[in-house]
Amino acid sequence: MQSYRLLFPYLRQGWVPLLFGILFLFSVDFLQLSIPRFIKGAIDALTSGSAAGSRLIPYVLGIIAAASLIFLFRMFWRRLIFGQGRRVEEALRNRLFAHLLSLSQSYYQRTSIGDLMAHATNDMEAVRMAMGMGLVSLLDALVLGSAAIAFMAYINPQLTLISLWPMPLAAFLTQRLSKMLHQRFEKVQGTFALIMEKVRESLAGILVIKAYTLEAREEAGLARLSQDYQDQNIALARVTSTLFPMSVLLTNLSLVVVLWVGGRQVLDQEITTGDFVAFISYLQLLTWPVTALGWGFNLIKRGAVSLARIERVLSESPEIADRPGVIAPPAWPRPELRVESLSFSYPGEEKKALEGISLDMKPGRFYIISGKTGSGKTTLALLLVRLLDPFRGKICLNGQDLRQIPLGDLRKTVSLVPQEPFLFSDTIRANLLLVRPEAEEGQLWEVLKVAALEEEVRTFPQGLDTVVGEKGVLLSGGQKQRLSLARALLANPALLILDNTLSSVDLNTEFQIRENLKEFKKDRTLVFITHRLVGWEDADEIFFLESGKVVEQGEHEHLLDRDGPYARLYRYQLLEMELRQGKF
Amino acid sequence: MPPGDFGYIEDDRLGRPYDFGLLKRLFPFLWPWRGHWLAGVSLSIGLTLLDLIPPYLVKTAIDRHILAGDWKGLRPIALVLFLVLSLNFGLQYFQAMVLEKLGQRVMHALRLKLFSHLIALPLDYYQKHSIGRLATRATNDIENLNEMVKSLLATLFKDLFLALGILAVLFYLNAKLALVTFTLIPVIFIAARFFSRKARNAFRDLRQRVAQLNAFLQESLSGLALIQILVREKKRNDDFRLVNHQAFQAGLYQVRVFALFMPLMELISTLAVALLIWRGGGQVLQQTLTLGSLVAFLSYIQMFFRPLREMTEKYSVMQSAMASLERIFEIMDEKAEEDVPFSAGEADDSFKGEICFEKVRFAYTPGNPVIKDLSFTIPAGEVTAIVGMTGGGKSTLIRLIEGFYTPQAGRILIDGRDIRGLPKKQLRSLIGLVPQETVLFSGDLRENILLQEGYHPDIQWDKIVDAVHLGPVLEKKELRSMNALSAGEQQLVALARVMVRNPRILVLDEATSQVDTYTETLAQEALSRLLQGRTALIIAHRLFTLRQARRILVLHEGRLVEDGSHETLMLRKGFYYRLYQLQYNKNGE
Repeated sequence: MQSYRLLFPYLRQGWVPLLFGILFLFSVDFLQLSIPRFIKGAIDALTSGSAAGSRLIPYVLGIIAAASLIFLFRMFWRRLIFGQGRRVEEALRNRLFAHLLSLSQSYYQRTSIGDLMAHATNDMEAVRMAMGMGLVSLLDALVLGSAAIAFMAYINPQLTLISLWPMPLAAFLTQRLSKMLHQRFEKVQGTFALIMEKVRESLAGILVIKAYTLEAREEAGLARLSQDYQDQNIALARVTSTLFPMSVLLTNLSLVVVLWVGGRQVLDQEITTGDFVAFISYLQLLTWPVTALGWGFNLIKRGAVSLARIERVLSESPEIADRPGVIAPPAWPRPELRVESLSFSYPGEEKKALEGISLDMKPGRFYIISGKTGSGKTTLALLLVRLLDPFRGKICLNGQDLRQIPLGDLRKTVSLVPQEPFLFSDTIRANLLLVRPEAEEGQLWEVLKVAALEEEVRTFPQGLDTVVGEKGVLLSGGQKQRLSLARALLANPALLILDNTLSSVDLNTEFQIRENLKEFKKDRTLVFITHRLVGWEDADEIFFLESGKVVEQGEHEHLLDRDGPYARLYRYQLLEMELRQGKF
Repeated sequence: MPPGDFGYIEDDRLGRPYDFGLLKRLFPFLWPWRGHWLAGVSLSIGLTLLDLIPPYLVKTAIDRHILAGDWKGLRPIALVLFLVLSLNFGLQYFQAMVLEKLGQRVMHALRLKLFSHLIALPLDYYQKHSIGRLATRATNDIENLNEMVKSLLATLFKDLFLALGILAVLFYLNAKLALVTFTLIPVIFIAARFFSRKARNAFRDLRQRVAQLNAFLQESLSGLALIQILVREKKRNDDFRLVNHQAFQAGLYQVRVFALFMPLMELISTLAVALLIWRGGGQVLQQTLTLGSLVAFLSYIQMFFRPLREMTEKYSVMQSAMASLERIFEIMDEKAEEDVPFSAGEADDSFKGEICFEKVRFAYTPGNPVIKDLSFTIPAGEVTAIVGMTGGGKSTLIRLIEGFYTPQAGRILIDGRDIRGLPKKQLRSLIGLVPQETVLFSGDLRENILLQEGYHPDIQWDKIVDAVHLGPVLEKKELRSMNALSAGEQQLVALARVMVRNPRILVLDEATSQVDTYTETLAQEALSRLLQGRTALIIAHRLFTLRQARRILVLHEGRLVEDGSHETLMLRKGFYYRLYQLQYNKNGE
C-alpha cells in the first residue's frame, strides 16, 4: 500500500474535483436511502385504510425528485472520479515514458520490452481501476452499507440485529474466498505464460520440428499444458462460482429472517407494514455493499502491486547521463577522437568484449574498422557515441573525456548508424525530417541521392510521402539501410560511424554509395565498420579487430605486406569477386 | 480474471458482434459438448423460475398472512423462501461450472487444432509471418473466445428468459398495471439503442487510440538506441504526450457516455417505482390490487432492468471475440504443406540412400532463380561436401532435399524415387539434418537429444553419449538451462540427435562459429562415426570435413562450378585450389 505515495503529487493537483466527486457520491447514497422511506410512507398510507388517492402524491413526487437528483449527482461523480482516474493514468504514463527515454542501453539489455509494455498498459490500467472503480466501491460500500444499517436500526434495532446475522459470515467468507481466488488466479496466469512460451518455442524451432518429424511430440507437449490450464481454470471457476452467488445468498437469508421475525412484529404492531416493506428495500440495497467491499479492496490491492512495479522502473537511474556541472563545449567542426587503453565487458560475462584498445582518429580522415563477427566492432561503436561507458580507459573528444561532455552535444558531433536499421512507421519524409525538421525538400533528395535511394523513392507513387513499415510499403533490408544512412547524412555530424550499414545492399549499389560518400565527405570524418574489405583500399587507416583487440592497423598496402589476418580476409574476398565475375 | 476478460485487442480491426458465417465454423467445436450446452440452457430456465419465486412469496406473505393477521402461516413461507434461495445458490454454482467446463473444453480443442495446423504450414509461411504474432493467435485470441462461448450460449439465454418471465408474471398479477408499466419499455429501448450506438463509437475510438498508443510505445522502445543516438528524446516525448492525451480524451468520452447511460437506466427504473406506487396505489385503494401484489410489482420491476443492462454490456465482449475468431480462422484457412498419404508395406530400411538431382530449378521469388538446372548424383553411402560463397544456394539445396520447398522444374530422386511421391514424414525420417544453428528446446539434455516421449529399449543411450563425448556435460549437475551449453557442446547435442534417429542420409550444414580446439576434436570424432555407412551431404567450412568427403561440389549462384575429389580439384588449380590455399594452407603446408 506504500506504493500509493507515488500518486500523491497527482492527487494534490486534482483534489478539488476528487473531493466534489466524493461528495456527490455520498449525496447519492443518502438520496438512495430516502426512497425506501417514501415507499414506506406510501404503503402506510395505503394500509391505514382512510386514504384517498391524493395522499399518495407527495410520496410519488418525493421519489421522482430523489430519483432526478440521484441521476444528476451520479452523472457528476462518475465524470469527476472516473475522469480523475484517467487523468492520473495519463500523467503517470507520461512520467514513465519520459523516464524510459532517459534510461541507458545497459538497462534495456537486461529488461524485456514485453515487460515494459506490460507496465505501461496493464499496470497503468490497474492503477486507473484502483483510482476509479476501487475507490468508488470502497467508499460507496462503507457509506451506503453503514447508512442502510443505520436506517434499518432506526426502524427497529432488534430486527436489524437479527436480520444482519449473516453479514459477518459473508464478510468472513468473502475474505477467505478472495484469497483463494487470488492464488488460483496467479496459477492460471502462470500456466498461460507457459503456454505462450511453449507455442513460441515450437514456432521458433519449426525447422527442426519438421525435419525430425516432431509434430506429434510438440502437440502432446502443448496438450499437456493446455490440459493443466483447463483444470486450473475450472478450479478457479469453483471459487468464483461460489463467491458471487454466495454473497447474494447470504443477504437473501436476511430476507428469510425478516419474513419470519419481521412479519410477526407487524402483527404485534411493533412495526408498520410500511416499515416491513422498507426494511426489505434496505436489505436489497445492502447486497451491493457486501460484494463491493471485497471487490473494491481487491482492486486497490492490485493497484498497489502495479504501482510498486511502476515505481521500480521509475527508481532506475540512467547509468549514462550528464553529470552535474558539465558545460556545453564550443561547437567542434573538427573532432579529434582518441581512445586510450579502453576495456569493456558486458555485465554477467567473463569474457572481455574489448581489451586495451587504443586508437586515434584525426579530423577529416576516413577509417575502416574490420574483423570477424564477435570481434567487438559494434561494442566499440556503441562506446564511441557513449551508449555504453568504458570499464577501464577512456575516450576523449578533442582532449575532453566523453563523460565530461553533455550527451546531446556529443551525439550531435559524433553519430552512429547502427547495424539494424530502424525506421519509424511514418512517411519517408518524416523519417528524414526527424533529425532536422527545418531541412528543405532539395536537401532531402540530396541525401537520398548519396544513399543511392533517390531513384527508387521517385518511383513510389507517393514519393517522399510514402509510408514505410508494417502499415505502408515494406522496404527491403537494403532499402531500410540506405534510408537510415540518408537520415544520418542529413543530421550532418562532424564524425559519422557506419556500423555495417551496407550489409544488405547489393555489391554494385555498395560501390556506388561508396563513391558518393567519398565525394560527400569533404571535411567530415567517416568511420566504416565493415566485413567487406575490397573497395576500401584507399582508407586513411584500417583497424583490424580480433577477440576484442586491435591486432593490425595501418594503411591497406602496409597490412597486405604483413600477410596477417587482414590480408587473408582481403584475398578471400578477392577470390569471391573473381568467382562472381565468372573467372572459373 | 483470466487474461482475456477485458477483451484483448491486436489491431484496429473490430469484429461484427454477430457474424453467423464465423459462428457456423465454430459449431463443430461446440457440437461434442452439446450435453453441457443443453445442461447450461436448462439450468438457465430453472434459475429464471427460481429468481421469479421470492417476490411472489413476499406477496403471498403480505396478502395472506401479514394483512390477515396469521403469523403462523409465515413460517412455511419463510421456509420455502429459504429452500428456494439455497436451491438457487446450488443451481447457480452448477450452471457456472457447466459453462466454464464448456468454455474451457472448446478452447482446449480449438487451441490444439490451431497449433497442429500452424506447425503443418509450409516453411514459407514462417518466412512471411512474425512468430510473436502467430504465438499470440494461439494464446490470446483463443482466450478471448471463452467469454463469448459462455455468454453467447447461456447468459444471453438467461437474460432473455428472465425478461420474458417477468413480463409473464406481471401480466398474471395484474394485467392493467402491467400494461401501465409497459409504457416504459419503449423508453428503455430507445435509451438502450441510443446508448449502444454511442457506446460502440466510444469503444471503437478508445480501442483505436489505445492501439495507437501501444504501437507508439512499442516502436519507441525498440528504437530507443536510435532515438538516443539522434538526440531526439524531447521530440519523441512530445509526440508521446500527444498520443497519450488523445487516448485520455477517448477514455474521458467513454466515461461521459457511461456517466449518462448508467444513471439514466437507474432513473427510469426508479421512475417505474414512482409510477407503480401512483397507479398501483390507486388500484389498491379501489381494491382491484392487493398490497402484496404491489410490493411484488416493485421487486419485479427492479429485476427487469438487470438483464437489459447486461445485454448491452456483452456487446463489446462479443465484438472483440469475433475479431479473434476471424483471425483464428484466417490461419486455419492457410494451406498446410502438400503431402501424400503413406502407402502400406514400405519400410524405411528398403532405402539405400542414393540422392539424385535432375535439372533442378528453384526460385523463392519468381524470376530470381537460386538453383539453376542443377544435376548431380550422390551414390548410396558416399560422403559429398559442398563449398561456395554465401548466397550460392547451398542452404537452399538442403531445404529442397528435406521437401520444405518444391522445385519449379526438374526432380530430386532418392533411390530413383521422386521425393514428391514420398510422404513427408517418411522422407524426413530418412534424412538426418544437422542445421547450422542448434535449436534447443526446454527440458533437460536427455529430452533434447531423444526428442521423443517414453522409454525406448532400442536406443542405446550410453553408447550414444559415449560416441559424442557428452558424458562430462551430463555430469555437470548445475546445467539447468539449456542455454548454458557452449556453442561446441550444442554441436555435440545436434550430432547426438541424429545418432539417435539413425537415418540413412545425413545432411549437415556445418556451423561457421569457431569452437575451442578440444571440443572441435570431440566433434570431429563424433562426426566420423556418424558418417560411417551413410550417404552424406555436407556444407563444409572445415578442412577436416573436406578431407572426409570423397567428392567436392563447388556451388556458385545455383550452378556447379567445379566437381570432383579433393585431389582432382587441387590439380585443376581452379577456385577450390585457391580457396584451399587461402583458408587452410596458411602455413604453406
